[in-house]
Amino acid sequence: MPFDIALITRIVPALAEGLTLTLTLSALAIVLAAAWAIPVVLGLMSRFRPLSILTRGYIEAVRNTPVLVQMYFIFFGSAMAGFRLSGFTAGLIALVLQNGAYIAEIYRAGIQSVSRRQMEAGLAIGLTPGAAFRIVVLPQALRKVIPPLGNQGIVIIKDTALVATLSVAELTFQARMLADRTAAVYEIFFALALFYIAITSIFSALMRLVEWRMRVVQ
Amino acid sequence: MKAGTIWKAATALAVAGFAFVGFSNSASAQASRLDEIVKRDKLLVATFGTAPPFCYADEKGQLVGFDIDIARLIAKYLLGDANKIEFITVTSEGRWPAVNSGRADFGIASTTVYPDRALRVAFTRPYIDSGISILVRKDAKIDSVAGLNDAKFTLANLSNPQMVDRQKRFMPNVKVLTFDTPSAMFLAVKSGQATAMQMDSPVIDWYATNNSSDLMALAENLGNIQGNAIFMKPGDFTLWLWLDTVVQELTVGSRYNEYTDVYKKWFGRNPPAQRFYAAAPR
Repeated sequence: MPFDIALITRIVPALAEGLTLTLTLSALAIVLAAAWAIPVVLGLMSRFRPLSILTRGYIEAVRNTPVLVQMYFIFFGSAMAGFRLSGFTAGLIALVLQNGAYIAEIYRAGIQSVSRRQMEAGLAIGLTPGAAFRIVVLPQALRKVIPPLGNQGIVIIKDTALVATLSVAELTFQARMLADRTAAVYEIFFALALFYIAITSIFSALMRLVEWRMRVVQ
Repeated sequence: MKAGTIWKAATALAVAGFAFVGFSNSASAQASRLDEIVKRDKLLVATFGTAPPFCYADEKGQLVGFDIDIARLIAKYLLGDANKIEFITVTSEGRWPAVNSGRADFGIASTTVYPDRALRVAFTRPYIDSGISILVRKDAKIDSVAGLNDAKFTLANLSNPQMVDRQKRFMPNVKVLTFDTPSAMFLAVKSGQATAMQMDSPVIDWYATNNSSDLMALAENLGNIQGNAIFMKPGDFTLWLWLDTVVQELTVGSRYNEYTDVYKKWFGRNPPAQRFYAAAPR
């Protein structure tokens, strides 16, 4: 198998042209999905049945279709409907919609894993339900959701590679263009994998730092 | 030791040496992909799945097209059966590793011959003329390549460098979107994400004919008349020679009638005549 290590040092700067877009899209998608998931989980756990049914329907719809299909739908569909969205925007919307649904489920699991007795204790000392939720339940739930949130963040970072098909000049796009100019397919995709590993490793380290800062001294 | 013994020993050694070299030479000279294909009794061919009328999937999901039919003829000539063939669909940049890695025996995928590509794959002579045309939305009201050279329009490209070069040369001001399959380019133009796309003339003509209500082909070609050819991993002379000979016989020789049948089926007209001094058939 031909594997030219010296070639990799020349490939890396060429790929790095796409790094800014990958990082920007990943960061925006993670923050917006985590924010969008909050109203979604509130709708999901609402006692108003039509709202919770509607929210459940939305979650099932996006979880059961591939995010690439959703991206194509938004990218080409927006143009057909008359308001052209850029590949970046269409990709971002699809990532937020799909991962917001997954993160809402993560939030729900975190909240429901905090014992009912915590909520009852808060009410017993005279807090309103809202305050009890905010002061007693939420901090405990938050600590529980950090690890699965970290996982979902890594999923989002890897899924940004899909927007290469929408002509967004991020890392994977640069790799494909380079592959069509040189024969060095192995070296290019090896270097590309290294880029993604670097990004997800830094992100994981950040999440571990957050976990450590939020630890409870027993 | 007698002189005679030394001579006998030397002669025996020389004969053994030649035999060894001779046998190993002939063993490596026979190691062609062509023999592998015959032994396997099946052709593995890399192609596109979304470049009508050359290679695309019909409503039933079957791969059909001019390139597909030519590949089936090759299977018939080599293995006796046009169905002893398996197609591997690839993307624009995936076609080179498909043949160079050995996954496919050769590729036939609406692929134009250019010098820089010939550094990485081996081409037969062209099996069909091509050129590059432009498909454009009728509502953009453009009638020339110069008209497209405006930053308010968007051109859909494939990922290869020739597309970039043509766009820079003929329409430097236009905005560009880059996709990895002709069908994604077409979807971009059809939906309005792009104003126009550049692609092989037969593909553009096919799209224009089948979408005449909202799309049309510009009359001008970008650049020269070019040739589409079969490509394979370089270095295998036996395979290349046989495939090139087959293309010769199809386009100007003993199998011209079968070539004409396929050509008329997909383009509705006769192929170029076998010789400039001979009339076109039928």
